[in-house]
Amino acid sequence: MSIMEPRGLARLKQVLINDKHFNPVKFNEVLASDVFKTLQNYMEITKEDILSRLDIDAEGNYVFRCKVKCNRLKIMGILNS
Amino acid sequence: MARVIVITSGKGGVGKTTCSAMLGWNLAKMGARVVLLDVDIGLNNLDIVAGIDTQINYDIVDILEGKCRIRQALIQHPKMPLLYFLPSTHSLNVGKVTGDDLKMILNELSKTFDYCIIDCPAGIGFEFHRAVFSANEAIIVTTPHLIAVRDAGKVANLLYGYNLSSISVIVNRVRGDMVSKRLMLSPVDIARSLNFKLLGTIHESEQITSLSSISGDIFTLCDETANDFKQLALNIQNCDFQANDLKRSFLGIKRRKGV
Repeated sequence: MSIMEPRGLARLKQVLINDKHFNPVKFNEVLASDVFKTLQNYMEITKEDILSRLDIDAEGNYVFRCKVKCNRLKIMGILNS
Repeated sequence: MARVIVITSGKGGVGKTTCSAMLGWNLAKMGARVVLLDVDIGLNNLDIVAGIDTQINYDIVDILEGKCRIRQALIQHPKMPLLYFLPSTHSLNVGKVTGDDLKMILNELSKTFDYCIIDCPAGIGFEFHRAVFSANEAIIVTTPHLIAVRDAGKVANLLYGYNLSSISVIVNRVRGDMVSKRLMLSPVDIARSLNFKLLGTIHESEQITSLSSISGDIFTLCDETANDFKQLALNIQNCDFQANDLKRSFLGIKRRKGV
């Protein structure tokens, strides 16, 4: 019988990565909402100013990308000193 | 306070109940006070595997209905005084026991025991969450089969949602000869793929298959797999994530085959 291990490992990796796509659908929305709440403390933004996306790369890692557009920062006194 | 460890898997038939029983046995043998809880309510089997099915007077539902105290429902193993069992109910009315009920019972048991080992049901439904809810550590049991590892991965995603101090993996039914010929995934590769610490490796055992199909009492196990479970209990006690020496088993299998 030929060596099966490398093929098996590749298949396992593929299956585990595919399964990650079936994580809770609302997860991205909740994450984006939390990011928005945090950024609101530092920037003058609305929900429309944030573009976020959660993906999975070829290695199976989650990659969260977030693009924020804002006109004004909320510079706090403590950060100035 | 006791270490409350849930033994889970996702897929059925991978050896959760056997691992729970053997871990309990070996930890008790090392001097720890251990209680095994069968939370597979309605489809319980731990009593059969442990050979105490004829000694059950009260079960977990009787405690909750006030028919007995926790102490009265506990069964002490006749050959291992430090090992106790809390039997599950045979009733099919499984909705009676909630996660809070189980937590209340475990809080009481934690005062008396060093380890509370929960045998979790297969699947990822309500019963799974009820079992995990009260635990502070989780061990995922899998076999070196793709579908079992996949289910273990799914369970792992759910376990991350709980406040567990440790999640580790046991790879059961490993054939050392096949791993050495690279015909089977190695336990190390499986743990790495799941991104978990490998707590231990249990080798395929004809004796376990025979014991579980004929007598049910797993504690008479005396082949090399018994040493695997002993090592596993040591790893748990020492929080040491070091897998067993697979080479030993390669030789063992060769010896048995007369090679």
